[in-house]
Amino acid sequence: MAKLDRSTVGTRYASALLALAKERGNAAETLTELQALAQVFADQPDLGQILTDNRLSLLEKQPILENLKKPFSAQTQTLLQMVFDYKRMVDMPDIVKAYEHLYDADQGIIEAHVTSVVALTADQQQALSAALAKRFGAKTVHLHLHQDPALIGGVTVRVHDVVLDGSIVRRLADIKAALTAEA
Amino acid sequence: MSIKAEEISALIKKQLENYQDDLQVDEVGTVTYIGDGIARATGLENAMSNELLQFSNGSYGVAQNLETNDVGIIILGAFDDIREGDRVKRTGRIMQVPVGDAMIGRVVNPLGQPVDGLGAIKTDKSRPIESPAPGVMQRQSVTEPLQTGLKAIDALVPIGRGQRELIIGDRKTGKTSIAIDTILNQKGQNMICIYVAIGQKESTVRAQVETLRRFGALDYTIIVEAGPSEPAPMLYIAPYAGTAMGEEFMYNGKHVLIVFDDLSKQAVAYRELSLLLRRPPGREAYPGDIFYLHSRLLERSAKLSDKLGGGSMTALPIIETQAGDISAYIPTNVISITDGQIFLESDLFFSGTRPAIDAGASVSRVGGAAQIKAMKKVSGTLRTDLASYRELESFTQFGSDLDAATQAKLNRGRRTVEVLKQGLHKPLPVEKQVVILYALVHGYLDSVPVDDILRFESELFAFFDGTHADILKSIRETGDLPKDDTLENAVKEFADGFSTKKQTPDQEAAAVNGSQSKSTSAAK
Repeated sequence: MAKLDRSTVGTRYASALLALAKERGNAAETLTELQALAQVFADQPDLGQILTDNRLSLLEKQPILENLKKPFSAQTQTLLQMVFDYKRMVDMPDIVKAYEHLYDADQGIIEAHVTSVVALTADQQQALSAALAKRFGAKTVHLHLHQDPALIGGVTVRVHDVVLDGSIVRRLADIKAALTAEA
Repeated sequence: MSIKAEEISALIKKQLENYQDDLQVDEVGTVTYIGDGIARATGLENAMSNELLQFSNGSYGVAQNLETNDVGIIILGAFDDIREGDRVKRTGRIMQVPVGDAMIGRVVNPLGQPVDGLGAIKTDKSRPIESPAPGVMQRQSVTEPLQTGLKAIDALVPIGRGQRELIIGDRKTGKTSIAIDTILNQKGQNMICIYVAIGQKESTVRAQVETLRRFGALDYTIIVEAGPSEPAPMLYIAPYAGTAMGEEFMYNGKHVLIVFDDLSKQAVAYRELSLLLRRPPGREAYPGDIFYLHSRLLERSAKLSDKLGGGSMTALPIIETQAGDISAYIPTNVISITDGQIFLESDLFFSGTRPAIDAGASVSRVGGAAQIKAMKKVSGTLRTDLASYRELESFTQFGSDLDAATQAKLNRGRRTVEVLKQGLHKPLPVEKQVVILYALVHGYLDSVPVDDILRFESELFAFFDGTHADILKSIRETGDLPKDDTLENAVKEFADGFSTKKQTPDQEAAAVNGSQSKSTSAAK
């Protein structure tokens, strides 16, 4: 059978997990736990690779897994044990990412990556959130604020695949294109 | 010189008129793989098949494979400064090329950008490179002839306006020459020609452009060029771009001739990018839709109904065979799509029969409908006669005892082959073709030695130009042979005069060289 690519694997595990968590009514808690788990994987980039490595024996790997499992709830522990048994630990970050994605879609949450030159005030953030919520038909907007002086002025917002570009640098580029185009 | 500030600001104001100051909304994806003119990108969830996409370095690409998690993109242009992780955004448009009268006389690349160094092309019209072919009710059957100016083609495998006639043969058999001569002969025929060079050496294309310029054919010709050094996607789209340019004229009621030189290279380019896009390979490693690649291209050449203006687009696709093998994959495909083929043979070419058309294997499915009446009358069974002569010739090489009928057939055959020979870039108007073929089929050449036939032909044309221009004119204008026997009498008169110059048979062998000098002096 063809090897599945990582996003397909992630989506399969994540959708099963989300269905289960919703049944038990702990989808939000699961998300927090998974995000903590993703942080561990981010801090230890080799972790997934080590836990799937065939050169290490089960006896060597199981203690690492036990340490990893310890702080989490029973449900997440079961998930970790299952993913470990199926030798998919290397795909764990993708599972978390897919879970976040599915959870957001389910709950009407959007993650907006906002880039501006200077930090936005609380009022501006609120107005932006409201505008984005209206545009994308979302209930909640999570703003991730970034700053980049290269924009000169204005704001760019990236929500999933869509980029809203209201920056000065882009407008200047447009003017340049309009002026240099063959009339 | 003083700087006029108002003028400059007025100019800038005009240019800025179209600039809109509003929020730009883009749908973007991220490049995950790049190489060999191919990119893959995740995201771009709403991208459409064949949609134009723009990379962050300014290059454009076309979405080809839409898969669950990513999009396979062919890149039209520079791809060496695109990196993994770069943004690629949707444009919401499909690939288009500029079209219109401004393109005529220009050499452009498959994107419609000029490559002849003659400045920008000012046209505000464009057409999508892929568009549906005319349907059943939008067409009518092919009736008007397209004169190629080549005796062998106009007499044996006539081509009509709106027909698709394949030119097929090994390398170096004169395929391109036939196409170029056909373009040269369209002068004053109310035709627009498009020559699409796919994967041809840039030096060769340059030579063709110079030939067309020298004969004044560039005034009605567009050249679309995708050289071998360009990435495969450019070679793949070149014929579609050329067809889009031709469609603009066709749908405006004009007549177009389009030459694809050659489609085997386009098939190879498409195979390359299909393999890189990981589409499953089939026979000869070509992808499964290689037939559709050519059929959807050639179906767009058509003769439109009178309601749509009656325009036409005649296609002359060229296919190169390997060692005369017309049963390879691509040749059989294109043969089955087109309305006939002109098969060129290297043996004939090297024995001096040029154009080296194999009368047996060449056909035109439109046939006599695409000939003027006069030509139909004189060419009649010429093709089958020639084919049977070829057969007879190979039989008789072994025996010497032949009956008179066979002898006569061989004689006539030898002279037919000689008459159908024609020099490079010397297209012949149809009325002259009719006159020489008339002389041939009515036996006036049977007594002329084979070596003298070329001289006979040129002197016959000079004689008609000089004293019987009215007959040529009537054939040209009515499209039919004269009702009375003026043509017969004129040919007879000339043939009688010609035979007096000829030596008696026993002197003939001694004076082989003499005929050469005589023909040059007679031409003067």
